[in-house]
Amino acid sequence: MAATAATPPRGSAVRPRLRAAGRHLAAGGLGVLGIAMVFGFWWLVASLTSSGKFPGPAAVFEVIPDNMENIPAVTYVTFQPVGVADALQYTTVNVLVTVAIGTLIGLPLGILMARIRTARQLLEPPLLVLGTVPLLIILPFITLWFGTARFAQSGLVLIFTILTVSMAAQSAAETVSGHYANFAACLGASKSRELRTVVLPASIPNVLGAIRVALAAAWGWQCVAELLGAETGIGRIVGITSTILATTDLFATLLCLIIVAVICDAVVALVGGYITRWKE
Amino acid sequence: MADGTTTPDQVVAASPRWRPRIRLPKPGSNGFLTLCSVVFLFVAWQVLSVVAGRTGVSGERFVPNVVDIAGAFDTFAYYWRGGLGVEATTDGGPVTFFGAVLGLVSNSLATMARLAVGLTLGFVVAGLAATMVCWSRFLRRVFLLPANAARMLPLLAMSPLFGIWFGKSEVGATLFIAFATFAIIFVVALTAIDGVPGYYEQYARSLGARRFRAYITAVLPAALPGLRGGVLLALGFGWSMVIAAEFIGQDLGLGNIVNRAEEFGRTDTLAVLGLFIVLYAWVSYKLTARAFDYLTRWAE
Repeated sequence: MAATAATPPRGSAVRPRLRAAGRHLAAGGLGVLGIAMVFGFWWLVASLTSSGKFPGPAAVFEVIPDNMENIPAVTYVTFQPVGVADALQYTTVNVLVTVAIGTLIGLPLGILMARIRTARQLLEPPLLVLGTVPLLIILPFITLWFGTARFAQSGLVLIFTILTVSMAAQSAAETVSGHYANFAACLGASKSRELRTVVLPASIPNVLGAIRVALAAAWGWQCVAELLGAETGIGRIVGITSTILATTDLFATLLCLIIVAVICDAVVALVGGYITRWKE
Repeated sequence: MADGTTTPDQVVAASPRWRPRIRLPKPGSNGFLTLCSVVFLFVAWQVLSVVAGRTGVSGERFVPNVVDIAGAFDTFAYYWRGGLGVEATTDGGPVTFFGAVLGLVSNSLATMARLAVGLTLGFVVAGLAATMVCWSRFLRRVFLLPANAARMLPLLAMSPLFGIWFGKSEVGATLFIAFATFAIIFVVALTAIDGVPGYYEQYARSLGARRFRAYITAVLPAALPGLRGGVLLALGFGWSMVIAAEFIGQDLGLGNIVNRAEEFGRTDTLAVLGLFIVLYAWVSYKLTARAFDYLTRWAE
């Protein structure tokens, strides 16, 4: 009897996995239903308003494939072929590279401020000044100082990412320093080992959250910077299509950007989930 | 004093223990390095203003210094439309300090009014929508994915759309702010209500409350503290939204001043305006945080 009780019944390890998979599938199905409801609402509003001002989903999806290479309305204004694909690639590369650079700067800054009092006292005032100024006030200065150069357009994204990531890293490292780090020190870990093997890994979940927040806001900041002065990019297409009232093209451009943004966020969430799979 | 009495000030001044209250931090103390950092920033800023040179458009410095910023306040007089005994500069009136004050106040009030109406509208609609959606567990799960996808909306880049729909009207600017607020608050409210432990409702139900009453009096209030971060985030973002809305299509408001100052290369006006916007944003942030903390003072 004892042996029978100790042996798990056949298939018991598979059932929880199946149940979990079923739950994920159901959640995914409900999510798709939610997206369908949003599109339904969009179609309803579009059918009740002027199609020139508020195009429906069908009209928007119809122009997307053609607009990838060339948007005729925009080409008519700029006298050169302008496609969503190139612009999307430009904006996406700018956003991803800048968020990565901002993270690489913000993470050590935050940990430095949490671990070294001198660094905190020296770095906090400039970061506080940057954090309190609305970013749109900084944009005209960046445009006046650096013109329409590619790196200048990413200035807002860079500042926002550095601020968000450094604050999250500082807060996480401070929390860890008082608890886990003491345990590590009791077990004989040196300061550098404590930082490398305890503080840094324990800060990662918070930093990943901050990266996702920065990434979500980055698309808007990048587009508005491009809208106010760039030679290419999604922001420029938004600016031109809104000026010539090409709302279908404008909707299609924004929809493409949102799809790419959602995919990038999902990839970061997946990679983050994998990196922090040890998390309780 | 004729009657021989002394005032509190005289007593304090005569006391041998009296010391001036302003004390600079000593080297090695906690605040000394912070003070050094602030002083370094200030000096670096002044040096940069000399080194960076001047713009070709207006002849103003690329990096305005303290004197430029203080002197730029009068430029707000250009944004006063006339009245209260001060003639508008566009009608040939002189640039005066009082005119500048009126210009700043009128534009600030226009911006604040748009922000207040837009934020309130966005909060109310998002709150109501989240309350209705979260009533049903099924609907909550249905809307969680679209709500999370809405986080990725390039809200600032969508301002031209509102220009197309509503023109340069007040309605367009206000609805743009309300839309952005809705996109932020709806997700936060959905997550906050979803995060309320199920036993809160079960306790209320076991005490005899009907489902609707338990939802209104137990679940929704319990979700309120979870909204704090979202509300403050929406407020901070709202300032950028209102500036963006006015920047692109309004004739009155701080965003319009930013637009015109950039057009004419007036870096000094931009800097002094930035200081005022920071001040407004800080005050509104503190007031909202206090109000929210008061509303949720019962929270653990």
